Amino acid sequence: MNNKIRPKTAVLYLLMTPSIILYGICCITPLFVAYYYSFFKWGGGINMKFIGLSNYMTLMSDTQFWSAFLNNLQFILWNVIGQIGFALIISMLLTSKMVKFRGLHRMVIFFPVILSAVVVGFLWRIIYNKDYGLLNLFLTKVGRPDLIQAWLDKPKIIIKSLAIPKIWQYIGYYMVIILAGIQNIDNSVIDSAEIDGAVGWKKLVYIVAPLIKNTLFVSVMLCISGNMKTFDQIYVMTGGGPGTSSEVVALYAYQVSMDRMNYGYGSCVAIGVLILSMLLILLSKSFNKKNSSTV
Amino acid sequence: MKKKVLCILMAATLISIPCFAQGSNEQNSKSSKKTLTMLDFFVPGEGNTTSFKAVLDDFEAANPDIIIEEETISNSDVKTKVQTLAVADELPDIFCLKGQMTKSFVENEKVLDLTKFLNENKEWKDSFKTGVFSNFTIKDKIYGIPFQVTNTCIYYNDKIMKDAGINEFPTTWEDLIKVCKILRAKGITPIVLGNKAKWNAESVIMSTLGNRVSGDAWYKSIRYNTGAKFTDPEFVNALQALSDLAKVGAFNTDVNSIDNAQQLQVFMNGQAAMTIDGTWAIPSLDANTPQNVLKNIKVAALPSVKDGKGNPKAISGGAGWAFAISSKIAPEKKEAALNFIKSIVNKKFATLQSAAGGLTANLPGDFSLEPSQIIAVRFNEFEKERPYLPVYDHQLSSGVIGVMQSGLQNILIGETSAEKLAAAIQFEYEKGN
Repeated sequence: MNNKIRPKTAVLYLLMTPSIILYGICCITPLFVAYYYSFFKWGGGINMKFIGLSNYMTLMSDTQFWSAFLNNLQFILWNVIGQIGFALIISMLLTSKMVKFRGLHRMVIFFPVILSAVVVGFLWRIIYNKDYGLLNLFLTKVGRPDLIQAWLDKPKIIIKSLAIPKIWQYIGYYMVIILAGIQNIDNSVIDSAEIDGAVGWKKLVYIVAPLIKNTLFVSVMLCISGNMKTFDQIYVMTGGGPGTSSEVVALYAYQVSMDRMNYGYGSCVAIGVLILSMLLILLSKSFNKKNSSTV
Repeated sequence: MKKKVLCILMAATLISIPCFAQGSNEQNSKSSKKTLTMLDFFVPGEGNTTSFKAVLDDFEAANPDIIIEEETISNSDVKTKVQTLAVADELPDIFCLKGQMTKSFVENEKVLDLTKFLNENKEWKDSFKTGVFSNFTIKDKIYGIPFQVTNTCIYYNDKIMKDAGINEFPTTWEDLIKVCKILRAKGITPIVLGNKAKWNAESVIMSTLGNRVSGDAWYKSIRYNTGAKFTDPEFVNALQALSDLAKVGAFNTDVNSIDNAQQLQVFMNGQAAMTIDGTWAIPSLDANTPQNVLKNIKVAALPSVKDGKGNPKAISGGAGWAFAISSKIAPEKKEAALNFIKSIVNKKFATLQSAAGGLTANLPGDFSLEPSQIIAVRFNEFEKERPYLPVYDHQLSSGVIGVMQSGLQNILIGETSAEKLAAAIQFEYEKGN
């Protein structure tokens, strides 16, 4: 920043302080508190017994936790492909010459992002309803009544059924990020590529994608961390059901803590989720480094 | 310069707004009236609400120096909220306590012992039905005053059954399975159940079905941890009976994705032959079912199971919820809180509630049901002379109930076997003990 318009360092720090304090109290402190509680056996009352790493040992062999984690991984897979994939395609369309009313498209596609996850969950629960839902109604009208089923009742398709509202809601979010990345590309690069004959899909894969690699990496990281935390929509739509087929780690931590009043173990699950998320992000980071080193 | 002034003005306004909010609260607490805080679930539409509001108005009129600050949330959220407040030590003075929470609340010293107060008010204590305090008694001390008793039964549409050729409601489990097969073959949903919240299958079916197979002795042993296991045939056979019923398509295909309210709607629209639900549904059924369907609805008990040790006439029932007083209540408010509960759970409340078709923990005065309350009248006849069975989620620990409820969702769609579920429940049971 130009030295003449840059505020004094003290002022800069002062302006950042409220946000840092808020973040510290709401996000960092509970993290340390949870870490502390994870070493105790605690039912919420006055009896708190120190048991060291016993909770973590239980966590390692807890099949329900690992199957919930597997569900999270599936969500991450579908959402990276769905959210970022569709966002990329839509961004390419919005920056091409053939689309009119760009502002309107951007607004409409971004709108679901600001809806509460609970509202989206309820909305899609109604859509998926077997007797009155829009989806089954639509299938009847287009002449495919054989495809009608209870979309939220079959363990085999439940993850995909739940991924669709998520994808629908967050395409706009990644579209905005990727659009910003694309608009940062120098116009001369795009123009010369088009002169050379790279259009549509080829332009995306060979010209644009390598140039917005960092933006894509940030999007993937956000997607991974968002999906490791996912809770609201699933709680509203199925509560982890049927059985535990759509259980996710955040929901499991909630059930252990709130339903079974086992706060020590619940905190341990939460820390476990943190460790796993960090591992996943480090994994994707090393994957990115490997790729960029070959360029 | 102008911008700077504007910024400072906006910042000052933003900061001062919460300060004003604080000011008005302080004014209230300076008055000489006593305030009792209360957390309950008497939302409009809940069975007990009208009766409760009536006695609350009586109390407030008779006690102008006591203010009741009531916080009301829905029944399904109360358990979580009360537990969370308990951990944070922020329980209101009076709150609704669920039977299964009593043990841990007593161990963590969150509730007051009410035995002495009850013994001092013998006439009031004797006005309660036998056995209603059992869910709230730990080591012979009573920690909650129950105000409602709920039962469960099968509601069936007589006309749909007769049209399908079934003239009598089945009395054995094998016959029930045959009946469901016939109904399913005719394209009718035999039993509609809304198990999305997971408690339905366990609370309205399993508690009764379990006893049909196991009898009382096995359950008592489980409750008091004297050697019975969930992997005993007494329980596995009960799970198997439910699994067999589900396998013939007895339940609606979206059993795990619709909730209690939707289940009743399907039944009230005449789209299912039977539904299994509790007495909390009766006021709603009487008020909302179309007349041409309402007159066909009858009540039946869960059928007996072959070689079962339980009494086939018994129905599950118990006092699920009680009023409890927080152990952290200010000493000068304790007397007021105790008197409040005594004034609320009184004869008038019981009479009003019984006249509306509900069941109360204390005995009502004389009441008569309107002929238009068809289901209430029928249930009243039905429940005479029937012993009550304890409901699993009123007494067993949250961990065991959690595993059971999830597992039952899987049993209903054929995704797990009776043996596997029994083993999972037994594992959780042993972990907790």
